Amino acid sequence: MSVPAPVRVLTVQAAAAAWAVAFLLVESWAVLGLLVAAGAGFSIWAARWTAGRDGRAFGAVEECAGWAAGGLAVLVVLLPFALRASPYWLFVFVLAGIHALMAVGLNVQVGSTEMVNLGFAGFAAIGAYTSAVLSRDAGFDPWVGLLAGALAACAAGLVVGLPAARTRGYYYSLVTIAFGIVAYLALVNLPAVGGPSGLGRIPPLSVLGVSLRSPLSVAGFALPGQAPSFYLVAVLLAAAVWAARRMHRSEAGLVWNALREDEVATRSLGLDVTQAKLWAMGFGTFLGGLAGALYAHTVGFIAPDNFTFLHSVMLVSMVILGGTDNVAGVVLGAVVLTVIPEKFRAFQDYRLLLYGAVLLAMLHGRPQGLLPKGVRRYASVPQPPEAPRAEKAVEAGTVAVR
Amino acid sequence: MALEQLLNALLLGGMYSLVAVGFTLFFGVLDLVNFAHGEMATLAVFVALALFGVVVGGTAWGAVLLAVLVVAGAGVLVERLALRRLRAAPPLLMLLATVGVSIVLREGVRLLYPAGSNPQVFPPLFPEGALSVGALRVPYDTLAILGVAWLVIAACDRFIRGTRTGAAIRAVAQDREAALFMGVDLDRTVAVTFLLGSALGAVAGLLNGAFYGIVRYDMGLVMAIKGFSAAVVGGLGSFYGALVGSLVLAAVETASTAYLPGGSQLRDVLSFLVVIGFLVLRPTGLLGERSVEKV
Amino acid sequence: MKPEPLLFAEDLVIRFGGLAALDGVGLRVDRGEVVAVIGPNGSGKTTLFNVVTGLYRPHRGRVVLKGQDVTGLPAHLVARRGVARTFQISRLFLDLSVLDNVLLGCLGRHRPRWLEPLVRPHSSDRRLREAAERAVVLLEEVSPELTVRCYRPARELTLAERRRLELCRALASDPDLLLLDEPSAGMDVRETQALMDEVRALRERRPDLGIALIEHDMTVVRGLADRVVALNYGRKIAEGTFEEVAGSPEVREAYLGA
Repeated sequence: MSVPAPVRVLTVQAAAAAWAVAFLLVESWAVLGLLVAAGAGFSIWAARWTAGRDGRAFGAVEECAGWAAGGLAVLVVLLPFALRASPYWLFVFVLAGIHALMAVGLNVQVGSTEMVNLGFAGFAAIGAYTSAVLSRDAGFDPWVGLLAGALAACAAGLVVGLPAARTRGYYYSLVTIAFGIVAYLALVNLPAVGGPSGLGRIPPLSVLGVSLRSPLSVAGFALPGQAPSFYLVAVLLAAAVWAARRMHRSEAGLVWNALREDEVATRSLGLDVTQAKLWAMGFGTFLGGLAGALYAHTVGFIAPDNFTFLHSVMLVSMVILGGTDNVAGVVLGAVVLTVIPEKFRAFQDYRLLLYGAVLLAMLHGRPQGLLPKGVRRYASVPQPPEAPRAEKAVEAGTVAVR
Repeated sequence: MALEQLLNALLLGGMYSLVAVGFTLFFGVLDLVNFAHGEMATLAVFVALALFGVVVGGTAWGAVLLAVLVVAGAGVLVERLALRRLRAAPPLLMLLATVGVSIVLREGVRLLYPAGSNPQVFPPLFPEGALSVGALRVPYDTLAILGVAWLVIAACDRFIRGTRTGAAIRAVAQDREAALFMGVDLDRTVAVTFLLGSALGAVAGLLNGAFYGIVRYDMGLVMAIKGFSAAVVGGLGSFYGALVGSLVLAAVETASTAYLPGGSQLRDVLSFLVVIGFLVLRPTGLLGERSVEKV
Repeated sequence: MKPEPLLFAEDLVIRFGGLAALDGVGLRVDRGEVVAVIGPNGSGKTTLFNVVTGLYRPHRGRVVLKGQDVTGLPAHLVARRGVARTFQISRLFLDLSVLDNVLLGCLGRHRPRWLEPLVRPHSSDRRLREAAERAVVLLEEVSPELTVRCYRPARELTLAERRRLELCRALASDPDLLLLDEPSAGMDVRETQALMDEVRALRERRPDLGIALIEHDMTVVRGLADRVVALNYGRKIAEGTFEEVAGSPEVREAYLGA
């Protein structure tokens, strides 16, 4: 008897979620080891059990995308319940969500257009500080601050992007690095925003007068104070993912990918490359600023040391680990690279070393990331019947230079 | 007074240039911004520190020279293990690989050296005291560092312009394919480039340590940022550009510290704004060639 | 009265460093004709195309397209006015599918509406679906064997297939002027013949299309060109029919050195 695909996908999702929660809560290293082994075995089996119609591992997830999304939504809603005794882990997930939001924005630059932005933390800082100052010192509502922070970061992105768009790819990266460092130095040296000791007492976001940092009581369950922030981040992340996927699957996404592949050809087709790059900058840094501001209001305290070059590097490694130009992938990358180091906080000292090692391993072993980017398909052009595979193209006329 | 500031600028410029020349070498030969370059300085310093205790009967100089050799070798190893396979991949990957290597090296030093997170004392390598030239008082160590820095740069220049391997390096920097057709061994040339570049970084770190007397595990990061900025201002890929850029940046920093109110805080911001200005308005730097992309 | 030329470029001068890549060159292409541009390597043929299409800005001279002065306009604006080209070394979007390459050709004519995917997702989707349909029809027209592989990445194609795809992409914008840069480079005799047949078929399908063609293969030039222009060291040294140009002493000297 064949189990229908949606049921298989949902079952695997639920099992994976249960496994993840267990992984987080178990303390004993022995049990943890067993759990990891069991998890590895289960994923190999599950990859085949949910294979797509063309045999691709986990392919059924994409085919039943609607069911998968619904299942994911249910699991996200239930997560704070499962973690209600561990507010620390819930907070880690809030952080993971904020990182994922940044990664989705950064992905448009690094993944879709290959504009390697190594100063993204600077834009997040602009969002965070703008919102903090507006809401703490100028008396604006934190929600207004949130939007203002996102817009300020977006504006900064356009300002940085405009001259950089005219230069060769390499120089764009260098400009972003320089920008990130200048932003950091400016914040450290400006006593008005607290200098190196940062800004505290940032007011929380609130809905209907209730602070989003206060504990929640739902259906008799007492959820910790991080829960409302978690839900807010989840909602905003879902919106960002929807927007990013829409852009990717549209003309805009196609133009972005084209300019990544060959700028000269793109221009020769009549497409305005500079405009496309600016939209990539603006879209990405808007999300970065939004995430930064969210962080400010969730934690209540920000300092320049939260937004360094190494943070920018960490964000890029999340995009690479998850899969460049794959929105779901970068979310996964962000979650993995936020949660795993926290799990091994006994090895807190080795956290940065871990990032470096993971980055190197991914670049060498699987540069396309965990979830590689796929081919666009159009409903109006069905997949033609399988043709005999073309012979591997020979790069005639060029010498492969290594 | 002005002469003293000039000397400061020359000294600073000399130290930056050792790092900048390395960056420019890597960029010229491999079209690569090597983020791990600064860590060679750190590595050299900590290897020297470790050796000071161990080299029996030897002088501090023995340990220092050994450290340079070790780090030069380490550079070659890094290229061989972490970067060579990515040569054919999109440049983004190699760039990020050097970022990864820099993190691993820096954290490695911090974790492996006892109390690595704390600043360490670095013994002075040069005699105390100073030379008096008129009203100017030039400490011996400043003179020595200036001397060593410029000597090393001159030797590097001689090597690149006067030897076959140097010619190979220049050939690959100009046109990799053409160089290959002329029989240049790319692997060997790249290895020599890393050997040379890492040695330069090592010397930069050791001089820095000898001058300031205190070293930290993250000193390489700071030096790299400064050195790379200098290389950009001078023109990535231009040897003399690296020198000019270093002097320009050193001048900006020295002047702002000495003459602007609150200058020492603004110093770094200013020098970065100069860098951004160059990147945006004149990305090829002061001496770099204006290249038009071949269509 | 002679109809206004499709492309009229005159007295183009552009220098790189101290070298004049183009030193007072002009080019005229009328609707419905094929003009071949020949000359030894380095004579400025591709540079001429680059100036005409707006990738380079000339230091002197002007480019007039369909009666309008487009000198110095950026490449994407020139392209939108009905110019399409292929490149000496093909510039395909290798990581994108065969279909997407052609689709992008269709998109260039109109300005993409950047916020539309977010505020009006349905109409944005519909336009893309329709463009995809047009792209696949075009693909069938120009190279049916590529249609079957429309979702494969362009990277998988052989050299000849890549050239054909690039031609398809160039035609996707329905241009008035088509510039082909060494379309037969790297092709064997059979593939070259197929290319020539394709261009002839194209001329029949679109009689108003003007084509300029850089070529080294004289078989192609003789077989396709109505008129030939010969360049050397950035200057025009001969112009006329194939026989006239082939017989010109300046051309012989440029190619053979005596």
